[in-house]
Amino acid sequence: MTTEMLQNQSCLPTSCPGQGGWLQLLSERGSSDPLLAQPQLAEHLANCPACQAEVADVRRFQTLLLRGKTPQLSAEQRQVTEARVRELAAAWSAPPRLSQRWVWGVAIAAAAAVVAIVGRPYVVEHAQQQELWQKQLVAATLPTADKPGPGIRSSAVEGSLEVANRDGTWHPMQPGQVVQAGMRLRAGATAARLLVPGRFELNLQAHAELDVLATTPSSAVSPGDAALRLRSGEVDCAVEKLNPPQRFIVMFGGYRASVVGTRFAVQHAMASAGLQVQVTEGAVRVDQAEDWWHGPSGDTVTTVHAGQRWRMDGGRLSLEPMALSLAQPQSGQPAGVPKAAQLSGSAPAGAAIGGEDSTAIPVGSMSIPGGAVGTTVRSRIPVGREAAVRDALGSDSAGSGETGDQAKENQPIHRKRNILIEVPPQVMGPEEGFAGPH
Amino acid sequence: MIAAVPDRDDAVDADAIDLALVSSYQRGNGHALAEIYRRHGRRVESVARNMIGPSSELEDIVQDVFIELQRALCKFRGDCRFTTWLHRITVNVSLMYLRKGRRRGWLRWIGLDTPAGSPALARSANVENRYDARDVCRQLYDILGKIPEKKLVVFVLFELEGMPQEEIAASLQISVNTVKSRLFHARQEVFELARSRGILPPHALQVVK
Repeated sequence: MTTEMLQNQSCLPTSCPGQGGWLQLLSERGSSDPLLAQPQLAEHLANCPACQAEVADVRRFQTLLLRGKTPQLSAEQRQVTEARVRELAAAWSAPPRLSQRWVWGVAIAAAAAVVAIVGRPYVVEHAQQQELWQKQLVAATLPTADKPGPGIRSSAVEGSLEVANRDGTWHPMQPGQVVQAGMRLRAGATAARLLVPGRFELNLQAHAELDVLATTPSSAVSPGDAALRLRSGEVDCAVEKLNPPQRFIVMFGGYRASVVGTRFAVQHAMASAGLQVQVTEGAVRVDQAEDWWHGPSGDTVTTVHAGQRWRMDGGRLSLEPMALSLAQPQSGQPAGVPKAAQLSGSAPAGAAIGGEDSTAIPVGSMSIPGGAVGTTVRSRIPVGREAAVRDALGSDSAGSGETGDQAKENQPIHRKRNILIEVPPQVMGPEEGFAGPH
Repeated sequence: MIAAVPDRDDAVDADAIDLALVSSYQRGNGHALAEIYRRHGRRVESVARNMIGPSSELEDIVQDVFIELQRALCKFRGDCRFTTWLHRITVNVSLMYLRKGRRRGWLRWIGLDTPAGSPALARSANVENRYDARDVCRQLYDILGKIPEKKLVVFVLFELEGMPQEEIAASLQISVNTVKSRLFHARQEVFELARSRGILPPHALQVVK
């Protein structure tokens, strides 16, 4: 039936299935003939030549389907097929699952053998590289007593800075002594300061204790990096920006603060309840520290910008703004500087940073009499008494009495940024993560 | 076309027997496979025959189905009826055969070495002497080869094999509505191709659906 025929047909829209409709209608598999079940269709079909032609075609199509059936197999062919299946059945004696296990086992073993043969050179080479890497790592960062790591000579030591001996006793550190990887340093009852010119400067508050993990710019592991592990107390760090850049890392508790060419303070306060990082200038990256030389794991990195306080307390991490007085360094503060020991008197170690009864503020660049090194010191003063304390600290630094090369060598480190990191004592055990000589 | 629908109780009993045979085979009784062939060999042959059309390789395909069945029997967990699962295997083996382009030599299906053939052929010869039954089958499967594979399977299982739509859906793991849709379009395409090629028989049989 053509389209013209359909257009010319006199079918009623309500009763004519139309082109294709008869095919679907008559092909439905029902219990009764649709023409008998729907008398209006039969009546329409009797009066519509186009539909009669369409129905005739559908019937012929159904005939075609009946006639077009493929013949069945002959009895002889079926016997042959059945005999083959019986052969299959007779060959079957054990559960195929067991044989499949064997097949898979053999396949896996063969694959493993191929991998071992093909991949062995790469595995061996990789293992050798890893071994060499570990040796270099140990040599560079964790020297033994018989084989101290490379170091760099200090130029100034102030206060009660002590170095651990191999037998666990302590002796005072002398100016000009080499700072080596593997050293353990501590401040005594008063604050202490260590200056490595052109590299970094450490200000240890009373009773602060730290390990030197790396100091050398020629480290085979990570050239130019320096790293400390603060075990307890508080330390202010100033790091010179070098070319190529030197990464300075402070491990505290289970975390790591990474900076390049900056200035910051780290505190491991004895009475603190959690870890805390406060940034007053620049930015510091804080992340979980599995190893200090590894890159940060991406999902734990927090960038703490100036004016923010990173805090980990009771397993909860928070990043919140600091108080305005903490966020703005007092760069224009008078340069009169008390000694670190004096500062520690107004900032007792163990006071919680940002706690209810005290706060920490950067008070600007000052020089320390005797050491003649300008530094940023952070003092801990009661809330509401910041102005009074600043007034008490305000004195001229011109009386340091330093001249010539000594003064030039001890130039203050610029491009400083202030960061405060606080670590509770329970985060790290007394001997955790350190194998160097004491 | 009258679809043979087994009585429900008989079907339940048949399913139980099938499951028992499968379980027996899984425990290592190889003769259960021969019994499965005895029970379902004709059905497998019918589905494969309607799927691939006239072919001298029908015996091989039936045998391939049972080889595949033998490999897969240990994976059968009774999640569906055994016959449904067997239909699925048969359809897949037949489709593999069609895809490999082995659909050849089907003109030999009624060759000199072949016995008289099906009752349908004999009936058709009586009704229309001028119409060569070989040409009918050849042209029909020539048309079926033109339609997409998915439609072909549904059309063959419903129109030629007489399988209910629900069972087709279960065998192909598709919905009944999908079966209906594919069947609608396949039927339309085959019909139009047959009519455009002028291969519809000149006289129609009275068909009972």
